[in-house]
Amino acid sequence: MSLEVKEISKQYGAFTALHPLSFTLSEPGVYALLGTNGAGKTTAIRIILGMLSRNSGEVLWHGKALSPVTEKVGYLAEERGLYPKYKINEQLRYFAKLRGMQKDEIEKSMKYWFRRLELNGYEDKRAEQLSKGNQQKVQMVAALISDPELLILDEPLSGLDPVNADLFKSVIHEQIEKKKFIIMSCHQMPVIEEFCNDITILHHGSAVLQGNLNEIKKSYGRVNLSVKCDGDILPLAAQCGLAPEEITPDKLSFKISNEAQAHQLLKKIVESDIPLIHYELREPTLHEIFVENIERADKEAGRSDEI
Amino acid sequence: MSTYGWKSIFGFTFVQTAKSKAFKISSVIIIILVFGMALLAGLLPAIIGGNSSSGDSDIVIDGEKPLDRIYIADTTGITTAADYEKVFATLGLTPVFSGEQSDCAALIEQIKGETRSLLVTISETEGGYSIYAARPTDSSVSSDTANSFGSTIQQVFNLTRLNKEGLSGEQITAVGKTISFSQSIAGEPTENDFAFFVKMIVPMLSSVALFILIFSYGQLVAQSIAQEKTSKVMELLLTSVRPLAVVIGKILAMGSLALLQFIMIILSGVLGICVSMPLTGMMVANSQDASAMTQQLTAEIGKAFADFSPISIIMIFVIFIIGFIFFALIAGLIGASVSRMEDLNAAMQPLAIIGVLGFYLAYFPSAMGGEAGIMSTISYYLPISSPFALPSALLTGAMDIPQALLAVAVLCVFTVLMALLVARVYEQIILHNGNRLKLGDIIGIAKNK
Repeated sequence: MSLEVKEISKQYGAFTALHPLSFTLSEPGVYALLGTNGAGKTTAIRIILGMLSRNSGEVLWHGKALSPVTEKVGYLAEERGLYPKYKINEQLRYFAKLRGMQKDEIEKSMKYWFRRLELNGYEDKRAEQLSKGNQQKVQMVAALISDPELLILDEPLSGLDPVNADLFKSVIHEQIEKKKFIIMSCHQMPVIEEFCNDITILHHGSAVLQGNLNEIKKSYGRVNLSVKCDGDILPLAAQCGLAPEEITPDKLSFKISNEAQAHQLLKKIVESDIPLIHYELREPTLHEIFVENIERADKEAGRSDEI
Repeated sequence: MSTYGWKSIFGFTFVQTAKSKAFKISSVIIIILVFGMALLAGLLPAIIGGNSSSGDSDIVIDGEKPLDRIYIADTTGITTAADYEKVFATLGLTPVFSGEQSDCAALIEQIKGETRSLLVTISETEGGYSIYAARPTDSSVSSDTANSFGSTIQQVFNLTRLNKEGLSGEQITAVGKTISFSQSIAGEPTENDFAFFVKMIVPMLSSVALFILIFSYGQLVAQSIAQEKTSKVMELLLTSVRPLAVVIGKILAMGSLALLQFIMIILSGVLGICVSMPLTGMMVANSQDASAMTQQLTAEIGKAFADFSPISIIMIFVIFIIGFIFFALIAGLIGASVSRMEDLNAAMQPLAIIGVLGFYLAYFPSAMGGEAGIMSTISYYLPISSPFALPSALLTGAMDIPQALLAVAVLCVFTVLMALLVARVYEQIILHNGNRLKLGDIIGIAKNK
């Protein structure tokens, strides 16, 4: 039971939209595809879904070539699309029918998802009569209606208010519990950290970082030090060879080269009797890893464009 | 290449489009317009024929007496008062008759003071006879009434004159028979107004109807695909079906709706003609004339349709379907080549120009009665004009079945080639975003695939 993406690439004339990309979801869970705008995430997703032809590689689902036409695949596209003039229930029945569902299955599933995503009462409304958030919920129903084993979510939470974002998160957690294979593309790093086991960071069509998120973080070590004291500790930090990376009214942030530096600073603060309010030594956030890798890739490629 | 799912796309597109206000309103307008045009066209011969024959018809009593008094002055000495008394007795009129030239002036003075009188004078001229009817200055007698009375008096005078010449009743009947005139090209059947209507106007109208239907529904295919592409619904569809299934489902759905409206046009036209027949009888005063006209029109329609074999009727529908598919494939490709709805009209312009060119190429030979020679031949075999030209050629008999089959085969070949091109490039361009793809880009994609 797995999804294997092997060396898929896409070329438009002389322009390479996606360099050979490989990754595997060997067990159910969430795989994150991250990247800057135009990095090749949507191209990769479209190739996986069979919408776009590829120049090389293959996509295997349980060891066989993946055919979304015959397999149950749910897709929530980044750019939402519904027929504005047609009724919601008619559209969803149509999408479900295209997935090969039977009439009674469709009705049962629609009933469940309308209740689950709090859409009851909107069945007979036209899409254009719904708010953006509710349209997004309808799109989510369209992706989940056939109870797909493989789910691809492209920016699932963008544009949602906090209440509906939590609702979507709870649905995604349910899908994880139901042992679904999920590929998620998202620009909200905390969301990725909340859900994903493995990640790929794409930049200009190439994978600049791949692997298990926890292991990646561990490999960086605990290099972020945040300190808040009721007094000036900058001279003490300088004595330890530390220069603050960020100074805010709330705290001082340092990038340390090893944990001994952090321990040395802590010892000096305690010895100086300056009241210590907050002390945190932590791994880098995904946001920091992302930015660092993009900057490094740009530097290596001699690019100077902003992220 | 998988076409799985085209039936669902066909069903959804068909139902949603048929439910749309635009389709309902256009259908109602088409039915009313075609029914009205057919009704009018059916009544036209009756209107023209009815008016022209009114001078020859008998006097009709409609409610009250048409005249209070009729004066007849025959200075030729051929007729007498007795010749007219019997005729006008049924109208309750006793003609005031005079055979003297000198009375004419007095009679004119006499009717000047009356309002519902008519004076008819008959006199001999150098070449024959002259009948003249005079109405009072403030007369309430209509011109039609004067014509009717004048015509009746003319018939009585003529009958009496021939009788006095020694002709028998049979001879007089023989002389009185009308002789019609018509002309045609040697070897071709004679045609009259009814035949002209059935064989010329109907095919011309059919060319126009086919053009409008094929083009407007082709435009709908392009619009529907462009809308799904720009609204991003296409991405959702493509997780379940291949792009070719989308285009097939849409073309067939729109084609079925166009066919439905084509059938509506035919049925509305036939219904209009059928309704016009009893109305012709009501409009034409003389029941014999009405009956003759109805019979003639029915006969011409019957004759026209008798010329069609079931094969030619089936062929007209086949041509319509293949012609629609040909244009809809191009329209679908154009719809897929744009990324914004506002680009669609500009993208459709070349196809519109080609379509109009094809239509005029088909229409002119029809309008010229198939006398356009080489132009007709080109229009039958060129795929941009043959869908509009062939049904008309089959209706007028300008083309026999083997020729038509050859022309349909040519159209089929072009349609298949177009389908292959669409299948080759459609998947590549359906998800294209950005500037509108030009013809060169599409050809490039087809070559590189």
